[in-house]
Amino acid sequence: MDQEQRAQLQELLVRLADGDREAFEPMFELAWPVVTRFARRALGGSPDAEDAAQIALEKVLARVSQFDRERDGLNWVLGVTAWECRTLRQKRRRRREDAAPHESESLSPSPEDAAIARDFTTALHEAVGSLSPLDAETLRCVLSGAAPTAAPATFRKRLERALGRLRIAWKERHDLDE
Amino acid sequence: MTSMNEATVRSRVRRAYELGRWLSALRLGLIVIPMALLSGVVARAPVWAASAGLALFALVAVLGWRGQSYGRAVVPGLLAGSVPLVLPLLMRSTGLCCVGGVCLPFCMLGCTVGGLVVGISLGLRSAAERQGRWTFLAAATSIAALAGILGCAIVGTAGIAGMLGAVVVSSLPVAVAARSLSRA
Repeated sequence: MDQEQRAQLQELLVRLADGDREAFEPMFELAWPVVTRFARRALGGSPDAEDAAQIALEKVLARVSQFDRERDGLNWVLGVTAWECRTLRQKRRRRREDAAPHESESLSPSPEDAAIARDFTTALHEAVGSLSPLDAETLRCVLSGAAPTAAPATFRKRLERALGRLRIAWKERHDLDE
Repeated sequence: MTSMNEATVRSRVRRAYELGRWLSALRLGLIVIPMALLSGVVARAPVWAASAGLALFALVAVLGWRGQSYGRAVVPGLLAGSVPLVLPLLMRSTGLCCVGGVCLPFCMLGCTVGGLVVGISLGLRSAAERQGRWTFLAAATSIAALAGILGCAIVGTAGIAGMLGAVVVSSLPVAVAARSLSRA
C-alpha cells in the first residue's frame, strides 16, 4: 500500500468513525486485499487466512466508532489482523497438541512457531519505535544483549519504566482489553 | 476467494460495523440512567422522569448510531441539558424553590435560565459545524430539552414550557448570529 492509499484509508476510517456509511464500500475495497494478503503471509498461505482476515476486519469495523484520528489507520488494522492470526495459530497448535501430544516435544521450532516469533519480533520493534528515545534505547539494549548504558540500579529502574510504557503502547496498538 | 464469498464477507463486516455503532451509542445512552434517577428521586416526579428518561435514552441511542452531525450533537446536547436539569433541582435542595411543600412561581427562573443557557451555548457551538449545522442544532437542542424536562419536572408543566420556550427563543437567533459572524 503506497502513501496515497494509506492516507485514503486513514480518511475513510475517520469518516466511518463519524458515521459516514458512504465510506464503507471504498474502505472495504481498499482494506480487504491488504488484510487478506497480510493474513496469508502471517499464516503461511493457510486456508484459514481468509477467516482470520474476515474476523479482523469485523473487529476493526465494530470498534471503528472509537477510532482515534491521530492514530495510523493502517497500523491499527494490521495490528488487529496480526492478533487474529496469532490467536488462530495458537488454536491450531493447541488442536495439534491435543491430537498428538508427543509431537510437541520436539526441540526444533516448527515453521509456525518460527512465523509467530517473526511476527512478534516485527510487532515488538514497531511498538518499541513508538516509545521515547530513552525507553527505546533501554529496551533495544536488552533485546540485543548489549551492555547497559547506565549504572546497574539506574538501568534496572529505566528498564522497569520502559517495560511499563511498552505494555501500554502494545495494548493501545493492538486494542487489547485489560 | 470467489466474489460470492467476498460479498458474504462484505455483508458480515457491514453488519459488524452497524452493531458496533449500536453498542457504542447504547453505552453512551447509559448516562441517561443517573439523570433520570436524579429527577425521579429529587424532583419526585417519577412519571416525568421515566417517560422523559426513556425518550432521552432512545434519542441518544438513535442519534449516536446514526452519526455525523446527529451523532456529534449527542455529547454537547447532554452537557448543555445538564444545566436545566441540575439548576431547578439545586434550587430545591437549597430551599430556594419549594417551601413547605409549595413550589413558588420564581422557581421557574431556574428552568428559564437553564433553557437560555442551552439555547445560547448550542447556538454558538453549532457555528463550529462545517456540515449539517442545522441538523446538529435540532438534534442537540432536542437532547438538551429532554434532559431539561427531567429537571424542570419539579416545577411542573409551566416550568417545562418555560424552559422549552427559552431554548427555542435563544437557540435559533444565536445560531444565525454566530453563523453570520463566522462568515464575516
